[in-house]
Amino acid sequence: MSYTPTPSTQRSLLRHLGLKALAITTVGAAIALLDATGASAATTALPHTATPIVTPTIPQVTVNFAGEPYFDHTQYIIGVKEGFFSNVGITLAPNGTGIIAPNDQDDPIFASGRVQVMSASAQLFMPAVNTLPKFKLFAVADLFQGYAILGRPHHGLKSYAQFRAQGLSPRAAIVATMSQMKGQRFGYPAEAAIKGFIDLAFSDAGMTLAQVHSVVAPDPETTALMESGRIDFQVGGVPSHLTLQEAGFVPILTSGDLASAAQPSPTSTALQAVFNDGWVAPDSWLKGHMDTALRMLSVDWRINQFIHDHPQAASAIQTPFLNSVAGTKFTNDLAPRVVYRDLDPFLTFAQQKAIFQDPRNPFEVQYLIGSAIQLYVHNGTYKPGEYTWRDFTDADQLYAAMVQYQRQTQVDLAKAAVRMRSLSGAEARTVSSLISRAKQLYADLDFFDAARFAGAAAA
Amino acid sequence: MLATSRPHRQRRALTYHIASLVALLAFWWLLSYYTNSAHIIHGASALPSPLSVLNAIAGLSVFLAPGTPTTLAHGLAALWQNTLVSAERLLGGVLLGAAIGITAGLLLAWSKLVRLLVQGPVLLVRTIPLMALVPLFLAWWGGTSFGILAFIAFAVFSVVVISTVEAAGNVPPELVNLARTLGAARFRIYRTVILPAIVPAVIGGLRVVIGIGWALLLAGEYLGAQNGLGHVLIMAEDYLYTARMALIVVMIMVYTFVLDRLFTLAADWITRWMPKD
Amino acid sequence: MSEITIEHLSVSFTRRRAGAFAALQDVSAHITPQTFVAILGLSGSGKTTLLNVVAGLLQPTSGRVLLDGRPITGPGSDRGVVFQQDALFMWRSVVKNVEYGLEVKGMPRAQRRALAEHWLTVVGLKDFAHFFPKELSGGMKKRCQLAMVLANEPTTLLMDEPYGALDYVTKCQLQDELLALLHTTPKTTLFVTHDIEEALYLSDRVLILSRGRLIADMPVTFDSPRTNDLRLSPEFAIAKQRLWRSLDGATQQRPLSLTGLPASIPEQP
Ligand SMILES: Nc1ncnc2c1ncn2[C@@H]1O[C@H](COP(=O)(O)OP(=O)(O)OP(=O)(O)O)[C@@H](O)[C@H]1O
Ligand SMILES: [Mg+2]
Repeated sequence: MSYTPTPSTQRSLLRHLGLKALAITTVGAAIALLDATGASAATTALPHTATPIVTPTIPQVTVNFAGEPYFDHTQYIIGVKEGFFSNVGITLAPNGTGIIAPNDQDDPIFASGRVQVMSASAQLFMPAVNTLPKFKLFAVADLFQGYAILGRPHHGLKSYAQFRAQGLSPRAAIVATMSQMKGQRFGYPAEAAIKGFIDLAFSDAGMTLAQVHSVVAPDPETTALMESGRIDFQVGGVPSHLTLQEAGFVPILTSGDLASAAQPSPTSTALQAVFNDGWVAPDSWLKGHMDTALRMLSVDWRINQFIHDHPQAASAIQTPFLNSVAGTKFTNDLAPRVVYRDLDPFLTFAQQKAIFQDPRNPFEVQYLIGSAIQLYVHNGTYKPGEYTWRDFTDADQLYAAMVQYQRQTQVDLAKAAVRMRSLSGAEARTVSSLISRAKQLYADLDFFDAARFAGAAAA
Repeated sequence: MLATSRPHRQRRALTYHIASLVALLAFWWLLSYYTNSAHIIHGASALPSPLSVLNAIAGLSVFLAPGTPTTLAHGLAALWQNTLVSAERLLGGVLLGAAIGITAGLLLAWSKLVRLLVQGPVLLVRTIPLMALVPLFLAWWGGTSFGILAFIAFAVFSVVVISTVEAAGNVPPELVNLARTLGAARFRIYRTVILPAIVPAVIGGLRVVIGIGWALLLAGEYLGAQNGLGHVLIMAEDYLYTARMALIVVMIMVYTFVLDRLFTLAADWITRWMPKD
Repeated sequence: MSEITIEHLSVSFTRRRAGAFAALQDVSAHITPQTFVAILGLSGSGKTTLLNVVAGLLQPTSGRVLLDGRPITGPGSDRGVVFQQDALFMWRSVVKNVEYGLEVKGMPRAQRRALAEHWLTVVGLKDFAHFFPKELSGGMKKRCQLAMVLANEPTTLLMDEPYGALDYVTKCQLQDELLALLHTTPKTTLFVTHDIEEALYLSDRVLILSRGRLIADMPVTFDSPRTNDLRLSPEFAIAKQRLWRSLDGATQQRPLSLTGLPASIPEQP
């Protein structure tokens, strides 16, 4: 590591992570936070004195990174290729891109301690909590809701969304959607996670599996059976979903649909099939590298914004990269059509407010993680009360901190604009460059550094 | 006395081998044809046909670099590239494991104290089921080439160290006495008598691991390999490319055969002094 | 030089079940330089044990063995040993085997090769220099072993039933070759055998071991050079008879004396 925070930085960061009520914090707390970063520090809180202007710097940091060979864990390559990481001084190691760990290897590789940040699903990491280093999800990229019942195109099938659009209530829409399957041939694997989703869909619709012709088989077979028209509906893992949707088959009901109709509560079983995909780090690393974590969070948002604004360009970067690591043959138009829209929509900074600060949203982070905890308690992985959602994520706190930095930047930029009027010469040039740097960082969603530069400009 | 001459007999054996291989291939083809038509499916299938396995070569092109167009030449290049990466790991692991195993075995045979201290643990090593070590190695060295190398090296070591200790104990005492009466000191005896005398036993041990060498490599490449045949296989498994999985399996079979032949040739040359019965 | 003095030599082995076992008991003998001594005895009488002590491969339990007045502490290249078993380095070619002792001495490669080839010529294996031992016959292996030992130019030659496993004619040839060789380069020789004829034909003196004890010490006074005719001569037959009786007597546990034996060949019973 090229950058290590001072012990005092660490201590105050610990303190600020311990603050429970950050989400509803005051400007005073924001100043304390800014203080905590140790950057432009106390000067912001003190009355202005004629101290020389200190230009903040963004340190160069290397982060040992691992992704996974799937669409929802390779979007980081966009940040690499578009320079979003380097813009905030971060280089991914090894090789500038990190490593790729397939599903069944991510736990042990994370446990090895050689990876500092891993793109992963928090809910899939959670069962291994006792064997992994204590970890936290600190940045959310997307919500995986990709388990879907797929049906054949051009058969007059309607999806849950279409029934909802017709004005049906969530419950009625589920019943209507599932009723289309009665007496039909339905293929699915014996896998527990997928079976959970199926059971939920049937029970929400007041149906049982006896009302369909079940074909239980591994994904390759049910995929082939769908393609050859020998079954009518199918649920499988992501690869088979992608294959079938690329071939024109349509999702009629997804785990996301079920979840959106659910109660916003950790006891909602419908939420158990939705995962928080994002960046996970060992607690120990996070505590010592909060600055880096905040900067990575800004890169996360920038990537998601890029995908949101330019899905075609994003796919043109991500898809060939995924193909080169996984050997897949996805075409560039698949991601904008399927992945970015249905399978795992990447959430922009603006969209993330809903998952961190909207208690009525069933997708709120504490409900999603809370419902997963319930599942693991239910199946005996955890003892009741052993874990709370707070044990697995700090993402909401980092989000809140960044919102505070955003506000602080606005305040300080206004102050700096006032100050500029009384300045001239070299000083004016310095402050002006600080202001424009702060504005640029603000536009790049790195509110943390923006606040540091704005603070320096306002001091 | 057999009426046929040696080269003649060899030629006949070869004919049989080829004939049985062709029959096996035909059987495979028929079986895949039957299972595929029974399901009337295209695309992914449970048993890919030999032709689809061949066709899978071109699909490997993407492994070369992002955006590589899919052609047979690129596919072959990717196959070759990943083969080299894997072969390097396999060879490195075998050499490292053999070197450590032989050295440790000789040290054990050299000193009674060392033997008393470590022979127990070393013998235990042999009883560890290798595949059970995969998660452990993954946790220690996952995602690095060294982890894979270390895994293979460990497997080789565990076999070689035992063969070495046993072989060193079985060196005929009259050979040691002969060297002593010819004036050789202890270290020279180790170098010029014990070491060459254990070669056949060590080679015998190595032959066992070489036979499962490529399988070991595949297991090793489950340790988060970023490239190599195992990586290709794992990804194909993840994305249900059955033809590609079959292709890698066939390639592994071919490589296993080639490696075994090469090893046998080398071993036969190295132990050409051994009386054969 | 090399004169060997054996003083009250006893060697016992501890056997797993039976406790201590005396392979040699109170053996004393004085062997003057350049004498050819045959050690004769039935299987298990302690011949190899005695030879091993002289070779320095085995420590006496009590008593001592002196070589030129100095106690033997270990093996040395001054005493060449031809072992009972075929002891050759299987992985070395014939010539490389012969070079081994020279290698130990640090002799340069070219010199070593020349010397080895000389000794191979002497034992008649010149044409087999680059063969591996596995390609040699039993007699050739013995010749090779001899060359290996001789190349080291020891002053003492210790041979343990070298020709035991060979056919009669080959054995006789090798015996003649050995005598010829020792004629040109005389050495103190201890030659273990259970073959009475061989002992008589080769040696200047025969020691008979029985159950670890030296039960007879007999000079052999046939003229040299000895030829195959000797084997058929009446004196030879008589001497054979005497040795036979000594050995036989040893097995019958009769008190033995070398005096009073018949001077002529007795009729066969
Ligand atoms: N290392 C040993 N441990 C125990 N007993 C031994 C050992 N070596 C020899 N003996 C015993 O000592 C006795 C003499 O053995 P030795 O080898 O000297 O016999 P030998 O006269 O050379 O017989 P042979 O003609 O069969 O070679 C035998 O009874 C043998 O069993
Ligand atoms: Mg003997």
